[in-house]
Amino acid sequence: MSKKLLSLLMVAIIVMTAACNPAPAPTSPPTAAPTAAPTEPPPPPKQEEKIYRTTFTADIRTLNPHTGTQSVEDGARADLSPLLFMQAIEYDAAGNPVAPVWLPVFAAELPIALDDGYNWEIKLNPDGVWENGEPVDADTWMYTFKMYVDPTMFNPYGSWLFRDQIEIVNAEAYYLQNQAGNDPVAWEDVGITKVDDYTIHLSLTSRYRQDDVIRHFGKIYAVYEPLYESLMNESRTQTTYGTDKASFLSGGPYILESWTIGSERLYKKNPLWPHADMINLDGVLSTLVPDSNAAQLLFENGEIDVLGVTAAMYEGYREDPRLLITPSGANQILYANVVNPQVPILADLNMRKALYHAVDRESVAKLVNVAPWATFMHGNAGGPRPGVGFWDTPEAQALIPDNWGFDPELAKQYFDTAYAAAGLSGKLVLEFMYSETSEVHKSVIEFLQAQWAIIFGQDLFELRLVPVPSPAILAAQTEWPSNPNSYQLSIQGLNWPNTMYYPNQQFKFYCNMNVDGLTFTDFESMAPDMPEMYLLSLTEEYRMDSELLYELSLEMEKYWMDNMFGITLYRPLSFTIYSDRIVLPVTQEQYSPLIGWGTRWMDIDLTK
Amino acid sequence: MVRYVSGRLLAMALTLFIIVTISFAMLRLMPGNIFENPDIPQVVREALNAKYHLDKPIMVQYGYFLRGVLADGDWGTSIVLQPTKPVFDILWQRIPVSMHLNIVSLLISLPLGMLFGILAALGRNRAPDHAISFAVVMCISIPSFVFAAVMQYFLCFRLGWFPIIYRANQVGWEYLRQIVMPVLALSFGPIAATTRFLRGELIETLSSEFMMLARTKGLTHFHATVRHALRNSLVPMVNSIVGMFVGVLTGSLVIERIFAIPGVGGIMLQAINALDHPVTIAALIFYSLVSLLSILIVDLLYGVVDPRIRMGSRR
Amino acid sequence: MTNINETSIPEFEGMFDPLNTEALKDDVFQTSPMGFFKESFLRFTRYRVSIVAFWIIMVVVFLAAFGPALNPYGFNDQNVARMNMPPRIPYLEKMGIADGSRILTNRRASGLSDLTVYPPGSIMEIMNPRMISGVEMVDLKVNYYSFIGLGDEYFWFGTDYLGRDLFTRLFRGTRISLIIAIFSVAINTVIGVIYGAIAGYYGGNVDMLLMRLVEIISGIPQLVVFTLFILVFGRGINAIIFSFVVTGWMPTAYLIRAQFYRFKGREYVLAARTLGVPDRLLVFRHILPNCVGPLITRAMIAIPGAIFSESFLAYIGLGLQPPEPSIGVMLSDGQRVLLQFPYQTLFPAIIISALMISFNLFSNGLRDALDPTKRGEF
Repeated sequence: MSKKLLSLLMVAIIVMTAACNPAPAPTSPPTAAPTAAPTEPPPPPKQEEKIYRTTFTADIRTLNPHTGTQSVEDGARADLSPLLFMQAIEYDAAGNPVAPVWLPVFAAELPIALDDGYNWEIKLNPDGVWENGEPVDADTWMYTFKMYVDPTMFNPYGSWLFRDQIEIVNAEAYYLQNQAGNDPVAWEDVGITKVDDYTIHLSLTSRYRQDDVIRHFGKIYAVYEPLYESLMNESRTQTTYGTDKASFLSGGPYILESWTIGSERLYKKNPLWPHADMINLDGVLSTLVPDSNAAQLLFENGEIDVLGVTAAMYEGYREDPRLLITPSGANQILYANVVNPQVPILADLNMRKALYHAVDRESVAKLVNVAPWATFMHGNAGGPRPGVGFWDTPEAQALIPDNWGFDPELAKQYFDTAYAAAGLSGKLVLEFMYSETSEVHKSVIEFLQAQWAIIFGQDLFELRLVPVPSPAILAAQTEWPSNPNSYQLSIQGLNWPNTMYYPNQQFKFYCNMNVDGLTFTDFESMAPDMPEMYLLSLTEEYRMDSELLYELSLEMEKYWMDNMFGITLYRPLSFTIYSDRIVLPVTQEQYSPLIGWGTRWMDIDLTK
Repeated sequence: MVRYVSGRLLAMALTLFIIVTISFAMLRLMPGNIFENPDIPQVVREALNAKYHLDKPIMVQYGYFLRGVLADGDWGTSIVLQPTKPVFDILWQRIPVSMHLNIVSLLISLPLGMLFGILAALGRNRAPDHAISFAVVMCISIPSFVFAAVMQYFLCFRLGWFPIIYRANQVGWEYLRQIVMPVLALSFGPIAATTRFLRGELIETLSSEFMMLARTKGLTHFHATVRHALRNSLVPMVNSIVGMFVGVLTGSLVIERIFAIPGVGGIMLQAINALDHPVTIAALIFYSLVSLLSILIVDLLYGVVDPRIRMGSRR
Repeated sequence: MTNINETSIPEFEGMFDPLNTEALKDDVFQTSPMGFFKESFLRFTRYRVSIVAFWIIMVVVFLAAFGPALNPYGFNDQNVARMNMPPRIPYLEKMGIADGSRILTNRRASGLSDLTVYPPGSIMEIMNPRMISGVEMVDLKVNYYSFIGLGDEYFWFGTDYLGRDLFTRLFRGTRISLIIAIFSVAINTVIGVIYGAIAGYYGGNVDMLLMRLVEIISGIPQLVVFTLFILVFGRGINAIIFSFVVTGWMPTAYLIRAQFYRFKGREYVLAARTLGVPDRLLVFRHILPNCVGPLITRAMIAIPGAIFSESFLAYIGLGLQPPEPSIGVMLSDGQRVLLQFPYQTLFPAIIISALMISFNLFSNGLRDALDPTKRGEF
């Protein structure tokens, strides 16, 4: 037997040694020798490179700006792709960061309004080049725009050119022309045209502020046409551009040096980037670390420079002077499915008020290290004047109820009223659906489960938890029009990047008749006036006048509170620790949501 | 033999086809929304669903899928995990890492497990047996996600013997150092399984007549065991290797997560969760193929180790 | 027929004396005959290790049944004021074990004298003074109970992230895990034996067909099956047992089938068949008993195995519906805070290990005891 077994083993060993180099040698295509690169003198022998070592929990899906539907990828794309404008920090004389400024990067200057805000011109930076030295000019951007809304490729991100903020003339019609019942539209009719090699003309369907145009076009990343075309499939429906190192060309502040998918990305500083002098780091090494324990060990061991502090870790770092607190994310809101025939009581405003007043938000905050929050609008929502947040104003402050709305006796009264009105007898059982992946949601809901039974009475009320896998949650929450039984109570937090400028945008979801996105429940029946108010807030008159918009937003917030079509539970906080050697441009005292931490402009102190 | 093997291969293809069909239907039955970004307008969402044929009945979708596979050998591209990337490319970049860890782990655990199994059987119900049984069971008595995390803390962090996580692009010594922990964590299960199995089998065989004969011939206890009993016990053991191989391959999900290994273990879970059905189907085919092939090989090996057994023979 | 002793043959009369006619050379059995199981039991009692293992299992079962009632806390009694309390056990605490102490890392040295934060007597030890970003920091060992102001409470195994008593939860969880495991293994074994026996005994086309079916079922990855089952049937115990049954009976079937192939060609089976013994008897009386040993071993190991599978499910986020605890749910919750609160992993890990080890050692003894080739051996 031994011979046969041995020979088997031998075969296995050969197989093993053959496979013994699983780390595929980083496919190093001739790293695009800069043809027209300014011949820099060879760098002086460096003692040590300034490499910022960070981690991520899930790899980016693609670097192609047209197919990535996740905002997670925005960071990586801004690091690696040509971008027209970028946010930087302005300092006062004393060296304190005062305001965010827009920095033209591949644009030569900020966009110019040609007339009254319908037509704009973007001048491009003649110094803008790809990593291989080829210019990033009007043709590059025109190709990029065209591919966003190409009707054959039908990229998921195409709606970027006609939704949310800026609507470009005919972009939507061009994008959707292959759908049934639509007329063909020529690319020439779309409101983006090339004026000369370094000028682009935009025509918009409505008037906009310069800020809006900048913010919108500050999210558009150029693609490299030759590579994009060569990786296209025969039917021109999709391209593999940006799916790995070999299929991507960099042109951002950093160059993608290597990318082992699902494991590690290494960036090197791009000396050809127009503002390369503002980048202090020599490179960035991002490593996948899915397990938060492992990340903490790496940080404690000095192997990474930044650690996201989870709720469980918080106790161990709460007094650490390096701990940075970012009030972030979206308010987490409980929705009641008011059309569910199994629980008609949810359609009763008293029941929703009962739930609202039964949330002990202080305890919730303590439980999962978040901030208590009892009102609807985002904590970072913009106010009447630049630099003044919505919640900084006394009018808004007055909307915040005492004790964050927690009042068990009032809750019980409302509950009893609703209970009697519904003609119930016996125990009211409500199901609470949530996603398995969120530890914080789970803790909070388990807390509410126990607390509500006490407040409303053990024999009258029971909350049953229904954890579902993450893909099913959004589907269940939004399929109520076709399947009213899909859920009873659920939780969701939505983050609107624009709320700092347009607080009204937060209400987008509650107007399902007017905005054709997804909605969580039949808001229309709970808040019939909401869509009208929202439509009003979208008009030019309100959009261009932040004082008016603020007034309207206050009104909408009040309307929300009165009709209780969602129950705010808390506002997330995120905690971060940077290692001692990282020098951030903004300190905790100087932090404001408008400026952020300025991580792109960080430095590393190699002496530490 | 050839006829048997070709028959089995044909059956295997049919099996695979049925598995893919059933799974295809099961996956499409899962509720969910592939384009999870709520920012995408409804009209675009519908058009996107139409682009990927997600709006059609399952049978029609299956038709598209089969036509793609049979006509163009096109298994489809990922929709969510790595959009536009062909599904098998996604797998190929991950399989080598996982395969390598698994093979190394099996190469370590089989001989060790056999050794322990023999020692335990020889010292049956005496101190060595108890010691080995206890030690072996100790190693698998804690779920791997706890065990790996504890080892990571003590051996990697406190003692600094090994790197805390796996890093891509390491070669040579550094590479070997960083796979020690994952391989170790992966090996405990197979070692314990082999030891336990072999001990049981050997004990049974040791009491059979031909062993008495062997002893009567004057062979030592050790000789008799290794020469005669072991061979007999290999038959069912070969069987358990299949389970081990497939088990280790799929079970590495946990280890890969804790040690941050870019392997194939998590891809199926990710794909299922993201509703990226083409990727799920590809991963499924890969796993099924591995498992079917190993079953076939084992059935064939039965005949090699014990010629008296003819698989598929009638009663 | 007459008694030979009384028969006289004339020619030999007087030549022979009859031997002692009373004495039969065979001993008459003094004891009553012993059944297979009784003998097995007697043999089993000789393996001391297995006996110990058996008693450990009994203790765990006892605690699972009555443990949750041993202290005043309910399994879902929450209290934000007492989150993540370390274990504290009377008597043991005097020996420095489970004394309710906890290490607080990264505390500012300047704040230590603040009696509102650190009540008198709460600080047990100050360790590791160091400077971080120009601030003097220390690690502290505190008596967490007096730190929080719960001087006379005792949470034997500590509390979790919602302030729930872990002792109560652990043994309630053990109960549920055991129920899931035992039921799923029992069903699996029955299905596996019947299926494997049919396939192995009849062979040929029947086997071919049945085994292809098994291949198909086992070819569908468990993860897909689990996910779908849990999506469709929810998170109850039944759904989990059911999904374990669907994915778990095949190994037993394989084992039994292999054993049948091995034994059905043996001479004694052929002999029995030649004598006209019917199939049913051949299977159950002559071949199956050979499989009892491996079968029991497998079943015994499958019980902690099922607890393991359940904890794997909990780890990937498909665990039982909260707030119901199970060993798996507690382990996966514990693993997430392993570095901060190791005791939250320690106690469930001890229980699952104890079960794993005991079931293994127990099955070792049981297997030898039930081995039909060892009849009469002691």
